[in-house]
Amino acid sequence: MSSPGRILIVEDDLSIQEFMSMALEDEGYAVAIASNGAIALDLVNSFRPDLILLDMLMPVMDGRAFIQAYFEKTKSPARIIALSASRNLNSVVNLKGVDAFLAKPFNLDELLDCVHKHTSGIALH
Amino acid sequence: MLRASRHWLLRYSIPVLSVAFIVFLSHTLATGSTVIVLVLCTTAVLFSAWAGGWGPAFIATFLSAAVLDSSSTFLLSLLAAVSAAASVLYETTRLSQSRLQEQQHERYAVTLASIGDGVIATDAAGRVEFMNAVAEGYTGWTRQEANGRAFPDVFQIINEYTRQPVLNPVTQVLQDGKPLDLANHTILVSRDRREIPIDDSCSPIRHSENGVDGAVLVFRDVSERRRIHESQAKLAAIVESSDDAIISKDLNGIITSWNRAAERLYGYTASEAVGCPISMLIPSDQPDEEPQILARIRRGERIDHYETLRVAKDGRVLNVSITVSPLYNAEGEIIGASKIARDITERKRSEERFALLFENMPMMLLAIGDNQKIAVWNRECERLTGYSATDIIASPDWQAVLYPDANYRQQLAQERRARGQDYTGWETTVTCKDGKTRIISWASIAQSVPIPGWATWSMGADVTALRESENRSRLLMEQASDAIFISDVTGKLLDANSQAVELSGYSHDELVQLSFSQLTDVADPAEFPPRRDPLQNGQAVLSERQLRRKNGSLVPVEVGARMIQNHTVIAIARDITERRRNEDRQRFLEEATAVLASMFNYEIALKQLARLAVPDLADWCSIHLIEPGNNLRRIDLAIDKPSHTLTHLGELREHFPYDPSAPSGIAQVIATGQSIFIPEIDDNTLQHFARTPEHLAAIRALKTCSSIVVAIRARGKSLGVISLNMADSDRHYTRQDLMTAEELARRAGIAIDNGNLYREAEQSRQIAMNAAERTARLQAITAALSEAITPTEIAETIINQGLSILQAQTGTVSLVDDDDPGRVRIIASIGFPQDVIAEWRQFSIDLSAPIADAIRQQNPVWLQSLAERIERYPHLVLQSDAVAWAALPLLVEGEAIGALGFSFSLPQSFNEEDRGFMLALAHHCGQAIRRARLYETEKRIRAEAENAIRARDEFMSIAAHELRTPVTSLRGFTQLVRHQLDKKGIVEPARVQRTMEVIEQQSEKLARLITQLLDISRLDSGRLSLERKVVNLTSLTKEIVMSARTRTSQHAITIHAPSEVLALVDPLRLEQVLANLIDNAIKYSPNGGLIDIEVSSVSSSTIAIAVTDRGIGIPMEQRDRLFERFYQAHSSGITVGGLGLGLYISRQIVELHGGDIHVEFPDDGGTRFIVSLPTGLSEEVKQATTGEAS
Repeated sequence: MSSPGRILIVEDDLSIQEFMSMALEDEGYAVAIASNGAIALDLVNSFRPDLILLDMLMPVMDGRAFIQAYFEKTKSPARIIALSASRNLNSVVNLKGVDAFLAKPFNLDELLDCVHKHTSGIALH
Repeated sequence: MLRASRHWLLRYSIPVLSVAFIVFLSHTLATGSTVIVLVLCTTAVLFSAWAGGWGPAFIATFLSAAVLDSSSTFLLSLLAAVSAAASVLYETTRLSQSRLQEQQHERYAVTLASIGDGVIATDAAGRVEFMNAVAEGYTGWTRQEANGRAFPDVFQIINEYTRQPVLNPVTQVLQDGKPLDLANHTILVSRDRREIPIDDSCSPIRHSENGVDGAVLVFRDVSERRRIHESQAKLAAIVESSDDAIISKDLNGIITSWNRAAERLYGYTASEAVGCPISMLIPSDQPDEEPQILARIRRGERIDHYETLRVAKDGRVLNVSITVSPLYNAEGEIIGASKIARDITERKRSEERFALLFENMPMMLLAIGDNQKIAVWNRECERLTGYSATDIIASPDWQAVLYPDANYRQQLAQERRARGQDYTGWETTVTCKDGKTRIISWASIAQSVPIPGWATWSMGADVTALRESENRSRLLMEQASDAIFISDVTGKLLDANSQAVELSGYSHDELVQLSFSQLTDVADPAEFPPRRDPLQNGQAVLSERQLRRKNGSLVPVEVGARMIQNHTVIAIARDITERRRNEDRQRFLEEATAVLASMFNYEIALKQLARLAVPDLADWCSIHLIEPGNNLRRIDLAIDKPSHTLTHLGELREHFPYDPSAPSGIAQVIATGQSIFIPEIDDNTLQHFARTPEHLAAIRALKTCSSIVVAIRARGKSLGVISLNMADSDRHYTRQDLMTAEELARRAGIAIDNGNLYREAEQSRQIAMNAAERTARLQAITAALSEAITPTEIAETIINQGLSILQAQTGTVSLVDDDDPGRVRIIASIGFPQDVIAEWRQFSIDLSAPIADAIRQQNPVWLQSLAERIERYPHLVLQSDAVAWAALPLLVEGEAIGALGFSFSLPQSFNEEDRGFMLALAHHCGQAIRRARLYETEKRIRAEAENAIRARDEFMSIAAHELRTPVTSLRGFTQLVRHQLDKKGIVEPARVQRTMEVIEQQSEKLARLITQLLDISRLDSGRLSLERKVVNLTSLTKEIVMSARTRTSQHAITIHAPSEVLALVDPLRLEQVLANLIDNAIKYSPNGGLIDIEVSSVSSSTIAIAVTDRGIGIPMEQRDRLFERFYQAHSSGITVGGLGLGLYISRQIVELHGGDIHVEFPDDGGTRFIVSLPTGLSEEVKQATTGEAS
């Protein structure tokens, strides 16, 4: 059975990185981790994710800056699920390129449902 | 052939040729016969001697001797003897012949020279050979010059009428060989171009039968002859054309010639008269006349202008004047007489007519004969004098009758003649036969044309009636009250009456030497007498002029003039000085009234009035008004010629000021309203007015000669005085002048009264207007202030409005400093230079200055003049060039919050309104600033509140975020474990282990966050308390570092510290501070690196702990805000997590300890936080606790 998809986790909090990667690997996804936007930009070329789980509030390069740089750089971008502990969602939801939004703290099922939903089409290919 | 004049070459060639011929002949004949040769030689010698004289003969002899070859001495001697004899013979003959010729020639020459005609001889070729002296004279050529010249060169002739050259007679004679007698009318043109009329004749000279050897021309000057001929012809023409009859007769009385005038006079033709006896012309009743005339002629006498009668052919008797002269023959014998007769019939008649005219003409005609007796005494003479001609001629003493004043007449005549006048006129009073007297005016003309028989003559007319009439006129003239001048048309004065004498100041005799122009003002010379044109039209001309008196002064006169009979001008002049003065006074009053009426400012009007009065009404005029306190104030002083008068008046006023209590003078006039009128000021008058001798001297110096002082009054009260004075012009006031002055004063009084009333009304109106205007202004200011929000805007608005209304130079608004009530700050100023603004931006409230005083004393400061400024603020005089100042406190709720200040470049008199207005301005200003401050305070508080709310919201947001992150992690791990448990029924132990660790870490993190939030809460409410104890900071720091090392693997944390650093601190709080600093250092060095911690004692009472990282540092613009609440460096864009409360809480804790935390940024990057703390330990405590702490 082939991988249901390749997921890049961009998150500065180490414990959140850890639990999300454990959960997604359990589901069979190929997972890569970057602790800020700048590292993620370096990774996207080699890793070629299908989905990016992107925390919006990070040091060095935050989610918003990453999206802008990523879309400039990539012709066929991955789907992006934004993550944020902030309740000011408008700025994130309306952001171009963001396909879904998960507010922290979220439940594991919510995370997995959302990931599955945004990777289901990809698996068929 | 014997010609002495023959050329020497010819003469000497003869012997040579003749000898040569002999030689040739003897050779040809080939004869050797000596004799033949000798004969031939002798012949040659003889021929040479004949032809050439002794010289050639001698040469021939010599040559012959050579031919003969000298063979025979005898022959030679013979030849010599023959030749000598022949030479002597021929020479002698030739000499005598030549002398004879010369003698003959001499004779001809003398003959020709002595004749009166010009003679010129030529040779056959027509060249001049001879001319005599007369010919030389006529032609202008000398004989030597003319000799050999062609005749026409010497003798040029032209036709008298045509002036063309005439054919030369010599040429013609030489051609024709016949003598020629040329026609007349030839003119010889001499060498020097003179023209001489000549008669000439020319004859050929013949020596032989056929040839003509030359010609001789004889000519003479005919001008004299022609003149005689012409004068005879003229004489005949004169006689023939004369108007006088010219007759000649012989001694027998037989007529021998009779000209045309004689034909006309007597009626006989010449042919009828000639040959008849002259007696046929003589009237038959005078038979003796002709014989008497003839007798006188015979005696050689001449009869001149003999008047007699003659009878014409037709029997008319003619009056003739005859001149008879004897006629002489060539021998001087009287052979007859010439007689010239003129018809004088007409003259005779006219003489008779004149005599009748003289006799009967209506004028006296008196002629004195050559014998000094009366020659003519006509009928008019008889009628007027009563003396008949017989009477007067018989009178031995007629001159005394006719010329009782003869001496005068002669004198007069001489004078006139001396002046070149030939007319003499004089008057005599003749005593008539009946004893009455008559005035006769005589006239005589000097006898440049003498009348025969009259030595002198005069004509006279009776002018008795005329003179009487003239005397009456004269009397009339003198009776007239006006000055009368009589002049000729040129303006030359002929007469003047005594009034004219008085008016002009000249005597009568002086006047008649003058002309009108000398009596006229020089500025107006053409106008006096009035223009002649209308006069010549017979019009009377009336005009006003200035008459110049003898002393030079001018008198205004009214002149009426009329010309009488085109030769006399009568001018009647009337002195109108008084009338003029009245007119001047009236005009002055009118002008003064106009001036007074036209001006509401009566001071200006009075000044103009004083100037109007001078010089017509006064030499100097002063006007004074009474001021409050009974002082006199001079309004104006007008002086005609501001010279000494001004000086003296000045001195007078200075030394003798007005004394209201003086019993006389101006004080009296003011007190009583009674005028002072002194037409003539003499020294007594001055003494009367003088207060002291010095005063007397001063008023004497003014030289016032006439004076009027009148009071200016209105409504029964004296307001001032007008003083009119005459000095230099030597004029004197009259009653009329006084009345004028009083009228003037009355009108001035009314004008001043009106002016005062007007001024009061105007002032009231002005006050009302000002009040209205200021109210409007204040309303405008209020409106403007409502737009102004800040105190500075309000202050500028107030100053701007105040400057424009008050005409102030500068304006300021100063406020007491909010923070330092001892200082005053200028918040707005207008009109000051920059340096002054800089110097006075703020100053102490205790300063002695208008603004500070106004604030301190809560009262306005008014400084109206420089003097007041100097008096009150001498130390500030140089600080400002302003003259006046006003400083007004800004009072708000009984407190002075500042002051409004204005300065003025001109002195001010702040009246109630001004002060009220400025106080109102200050009030408005204070209230507006108060409102603005309240508004600002309110705004600030609201902003602070809003900021607090916003900060709280932000804090809540950050706090929530920070809290959610560990919650997410906790929830994720626990659900993952349960998820695995649900799916597999079993959880890997490693995962459980890891989950437990995460739960522990994240719950610690949550606990720390909650502590921080509680700390903040405590700090905000002031409930954070320290539990101090003596701590060894080195030990404490080491524990903290050990803990920190567990949280990072990337960073190397080192400690530099002495073994013991004691301080009295709350160890838990200080640990919180240091842990926070080290966590920050870790957080801001994301790439790892060295973190250095140093603990040191700065002094005995201060310690320092420094935390230095090599991390990303802090951007420059954010360094100031590091210690603010909720501040996170890099909060935009780069987030490092945390509440951002760490440094804020650390600072609060350090400050609670009485210490200080600050940050440094080393040049090589990174950040260094330094905490300074007081040890909080006295030496004793230190000593006491050292052991315990360690």
